[in-house]
Amino acid sequence: MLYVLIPLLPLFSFIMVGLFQKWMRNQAHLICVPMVFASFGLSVYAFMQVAGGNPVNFDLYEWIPVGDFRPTFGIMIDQLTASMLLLVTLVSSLVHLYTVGYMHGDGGYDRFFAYISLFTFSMLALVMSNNFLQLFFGWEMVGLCSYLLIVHWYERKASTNASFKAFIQNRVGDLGFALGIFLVWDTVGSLDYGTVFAAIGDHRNDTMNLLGTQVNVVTMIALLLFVGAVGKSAQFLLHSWLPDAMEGPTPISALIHAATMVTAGIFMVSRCHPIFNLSETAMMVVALTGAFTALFGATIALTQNDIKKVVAYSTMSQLGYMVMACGIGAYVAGMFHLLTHGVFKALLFLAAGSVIHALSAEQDIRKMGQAKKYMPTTYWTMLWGSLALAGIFPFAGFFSKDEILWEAWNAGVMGKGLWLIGVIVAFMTAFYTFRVFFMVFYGKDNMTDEMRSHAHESPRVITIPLVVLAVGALFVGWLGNPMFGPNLSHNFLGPVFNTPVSHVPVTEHAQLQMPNLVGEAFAEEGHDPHAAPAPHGEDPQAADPHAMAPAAHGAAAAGGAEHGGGHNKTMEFLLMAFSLAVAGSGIFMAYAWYYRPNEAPAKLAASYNGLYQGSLNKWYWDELYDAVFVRPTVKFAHGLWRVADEIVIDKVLVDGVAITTRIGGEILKFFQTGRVQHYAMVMSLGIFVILGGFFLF
Amino acid sequence: MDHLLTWVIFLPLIGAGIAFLVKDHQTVKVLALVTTIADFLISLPLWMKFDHGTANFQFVEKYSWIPTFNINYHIGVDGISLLLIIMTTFLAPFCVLCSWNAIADRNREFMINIMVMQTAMVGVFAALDMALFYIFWEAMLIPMYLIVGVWGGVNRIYAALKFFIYTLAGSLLLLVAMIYMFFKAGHTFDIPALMNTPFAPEAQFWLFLAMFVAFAIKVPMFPFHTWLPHAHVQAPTAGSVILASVMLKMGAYGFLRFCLPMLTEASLSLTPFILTLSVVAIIYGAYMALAQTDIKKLIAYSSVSHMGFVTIGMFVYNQLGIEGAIMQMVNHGVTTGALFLCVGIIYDRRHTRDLSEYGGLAKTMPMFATCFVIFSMASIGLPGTNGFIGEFMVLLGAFTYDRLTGVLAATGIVLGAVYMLYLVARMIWSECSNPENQKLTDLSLREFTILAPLVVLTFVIGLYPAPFLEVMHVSVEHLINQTAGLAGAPQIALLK
Amino acid sequence: MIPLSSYVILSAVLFFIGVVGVLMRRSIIVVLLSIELMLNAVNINFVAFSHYLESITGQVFVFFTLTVAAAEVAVGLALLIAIYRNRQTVNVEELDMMKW
Repeated sequence: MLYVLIPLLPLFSFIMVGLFQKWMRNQAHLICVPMVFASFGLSVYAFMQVAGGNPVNFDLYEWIPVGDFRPTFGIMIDQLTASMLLLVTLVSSLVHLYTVGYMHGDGGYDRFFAYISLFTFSMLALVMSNNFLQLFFGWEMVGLCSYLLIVHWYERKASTNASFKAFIQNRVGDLGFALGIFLVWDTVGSLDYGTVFAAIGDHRNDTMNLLGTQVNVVTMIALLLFVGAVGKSAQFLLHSWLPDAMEGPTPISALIHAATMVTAGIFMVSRCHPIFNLSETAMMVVALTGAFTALFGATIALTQNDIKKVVAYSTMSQLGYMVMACGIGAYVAGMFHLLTHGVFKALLFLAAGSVIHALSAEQDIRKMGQAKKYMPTTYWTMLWGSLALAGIFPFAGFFSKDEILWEAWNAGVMGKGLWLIGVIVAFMTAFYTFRVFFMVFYGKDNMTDEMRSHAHESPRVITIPLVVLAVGALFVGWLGNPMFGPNLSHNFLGPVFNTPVSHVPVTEHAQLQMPNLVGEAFAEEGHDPHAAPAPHGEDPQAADPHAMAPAAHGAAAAGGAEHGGGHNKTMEFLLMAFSLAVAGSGIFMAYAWYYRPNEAPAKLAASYNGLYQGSLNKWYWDELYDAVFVRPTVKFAHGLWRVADEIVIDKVLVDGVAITTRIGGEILKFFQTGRVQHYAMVMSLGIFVILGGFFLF
Repeated sequence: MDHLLTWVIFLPLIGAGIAFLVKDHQTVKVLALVTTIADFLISLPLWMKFDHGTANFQFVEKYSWIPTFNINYHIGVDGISLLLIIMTTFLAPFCVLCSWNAIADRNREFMINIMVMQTAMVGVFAALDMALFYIFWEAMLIPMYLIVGVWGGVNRIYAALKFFIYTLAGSLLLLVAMIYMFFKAGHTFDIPALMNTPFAPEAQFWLFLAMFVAFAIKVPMFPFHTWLPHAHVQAPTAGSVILASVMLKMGAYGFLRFCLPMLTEASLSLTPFILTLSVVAIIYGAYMALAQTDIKKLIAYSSVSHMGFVTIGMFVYNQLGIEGAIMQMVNHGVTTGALFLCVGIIYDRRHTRDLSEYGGLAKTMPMFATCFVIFSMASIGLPGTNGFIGEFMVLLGAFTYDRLTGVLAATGIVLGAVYMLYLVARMIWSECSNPENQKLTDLSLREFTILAPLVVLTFVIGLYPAPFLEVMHVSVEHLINQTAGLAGAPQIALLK
Repeated sequence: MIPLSSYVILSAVLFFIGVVGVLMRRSIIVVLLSIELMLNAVNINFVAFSHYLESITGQVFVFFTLTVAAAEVAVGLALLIAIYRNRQTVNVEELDMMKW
């Protein structure tokens, strides 16, 4: 029950700040920061508990009880959730702290704190959910928070537009996600993770009629759920909101649009791996979408000049990496990359924010340069972040990225292709990351005197989170280190993905009323064969391929499982060395072109102008959407209203009836002379006719 | 209290009677407020004492009224009507409060109208005699006609006339159907008795069509909706609130009370027709809303879209769908009512409903902006707000009944977000460039009192809807059992 | 003993004169007089049949008719005066305001 506090503490600060905003006087951090740190503390505790073999799963109350439909608000903390908890609360805490400095003096200071607290709550509700509906709740709520935070500076037209775009594109994804949930309910008759994952295997051969063709139900479910992930994680086709979302203040770019919310899609796919594993088609779609997004994002990031946009596109690209990992069944690698990426990307964003903050809110890297001397801490932390993103040993990105590449290498023919894409993306990533780095901190000093005179190192509240994250960026990767000692990430997360059924038993409410009973409750559950195995060394279940999901990608998953056991090391080292060399050459290229002012990039851009313009203009995707969806919709709506509604239905049909009646009256009114004797005459004639008729018949 | 339900129905009428005798406008305002609040308070025991375990009508009162035609004063509530009655009484004080200063001219008469209308509205939901139902149903039109026609905007006469004649024309067919049923069922207008009378399928078809026209106009279903934007735009705030929150529900309630239990075979065989119209209403209403620049018109068209969910939910014959439809009715009442109240609040300040006149209200009216965004999110159906509950239940119910319907209806959640956020972006966000908007004042205490309970209710229903749902379980199950006994429903088998 | 038929014929003749008067004459006063004539034609019928059928009901009805006729004349003349004051005419052909 103690775990309930993890999401509730940020919610509490949201409610307090939200209600009493008027009286806050820019002191909201006094509530929000301690609360989120407390939440972080509890998350660490929860993590320890889970690591000690005490996963949690209980329901709080029934949300919408109707007949058989009984979704709940509940809490489930297994290894997957625990690692997400750590990431979310850690980054959130640091961002809260950072915000104190970054948003200092902003008109919406308290409001901003209220919303990031609400976001933290929503994200925690999302990851801690034990059923699909609460997942959906968190899913939409984080979207709302993202919307509200992007539009923080609501007077800017760009912010308003960006928030609109973010919400709508997310909603399109959510529509698919909701339909996926409907189909889950219709197929299995439950929305509880445990029940669904246990029963979904029985439906693996079910088909449904989709516009005349029979398709596999499970594939359909997986694809629909994945549409949600596409929206939330900014995968190709629903990606264009993420770069625009950079209109929001930098802290939320770090928290929401890099470290946490956008990774919800990967989290969800990992969480639903029993469903995805059953469908080869869906997995292929996931992998290809991810790979394409990775490539797509990287190509755009090459030429962007807005420091935040570059980081945003790199986020998109890295998310593609993670999705690709999920698509080849390497959930552990995907999740591991998610965690390391969360740390170093938050770092990069916060460092970029620090740069922007220090340079009078300038975001265009062409107007920066030689900033190193003004901000040493930001310089060093950003360097570490960039090295991590580029994937240089021994920083975090190196381990996680190479694990994904290694898993891809092992995933059959398609995997080799994906590996190749991954390597290309890794090269581009290294290049554009250091392009920004060199242009900001070295290169030609393009700052205005105005900027130069104000340039300064950011205050402590900003640099401390940077340093913490930088240290994280250095060390967190070692958890998934395949070289020396046990691969902790596999040992910890592996069991989640190697048992086909969600294995955390639902405990009785009564047992969880008191926090100190939690341990006992699980001590009893420990005898349950389905209980989560403790992540120590070689777990029999983890190593046993028969215990794994009998999935299409069983081979890939098996590769992943053996990986922890220490096979195939030589090949892995070779590939690692290769990708390290690729990343190094990317950095070197950036160094050669941007360390000192250089004509080479401009020349290259001129000779491949088409490609350059394409990349610079995001491959015209916004224009395409504008032409295909936005403008036709508005035009269609307007035309429909003017023609169908106002003219056809209202004027012709409805008023038409009235007009017909009126015309009838206009004709009949000529019989109404107004002379009493005419009426009397007609009356008498009528009497004669009636009498006559009476006598005749 | 013995005659609790009668008191709930007629207390506002008594208030109106007293108001007739009082000349002073201030006194009448206070009287109206006290009456409506008292009415809400005495309607609460209906909910608290309501027995969840039975599908029978409760708080029944039955007295012979016009013995010649076997018309009785027969009233009662079940799980279907209970929440609608509570919602009606709940919203009335807000209608009084929002007209406190907005109605400067003939305020006393306005309040009398509101109170008379409330009696008629509660009466419609409580009537268990079809003749009584019809009387309340028609009686409600008159005060509404006056409210739009006397206190409305520039085009009020056209709007009021259109509203009145359109709905009246529909009601006439209801009257015809009613009289036919009276004779077929052995000279009775009694609703429980009519529910147990089997009508011949052939007759059911025509009866259904007649009732369909009456109810579809009231809902309003596509393509009978065009009176709604006119009426909403011209009506004063309180009129819009009542119109959107309560009156529209009566059509849906009529389907639920008459068509489904009495004309089950016809309902089942005409389901594809209704579902098609509902899906069209959802998408069409959303597109219409998207094209609007008049705030009230936008919300009016959004009502068409939202009521599409209600009609879908009712005609999928499963518990999720029907309970979702009732929840959606309540939620739409709360949310759209609240949105109209919000529009009224800024209309009082700026006297324009043109969207292009607004912008950046978040800067000058932060509290108002917060409330407006919350209600917009509820309208969009964000989880955690009330709008989600009804919408999700209906969609899930529809999806299990017929997948194509579910999928098409679900597109409404995207379209709904588009037009609502467009409204929010234009009105609440963006630059506060209009000098008129820069000097706006935030919510007054009275306005805050209006919006605050609605905000709370938005979240209460959104996060803990169980108390609202449990009152209807048994009644809805009973209704479903009635329909389930009949032959399998014909389905549009495109996706099944 | 005058046979019933004579009364009926008399009544019919009077009634017909009344009808013709109502339909043909232009002065409202004459129209009103003609209406009275029609009413009294009916009264004659009532009395005659009352006597013939030996039932008092007919005569009772005559009283009703007379009363109504008196009231009608009172209202009618009042209206007539009001019309004359407004329009300076009692010619029915000029009084055609009750049209579109």
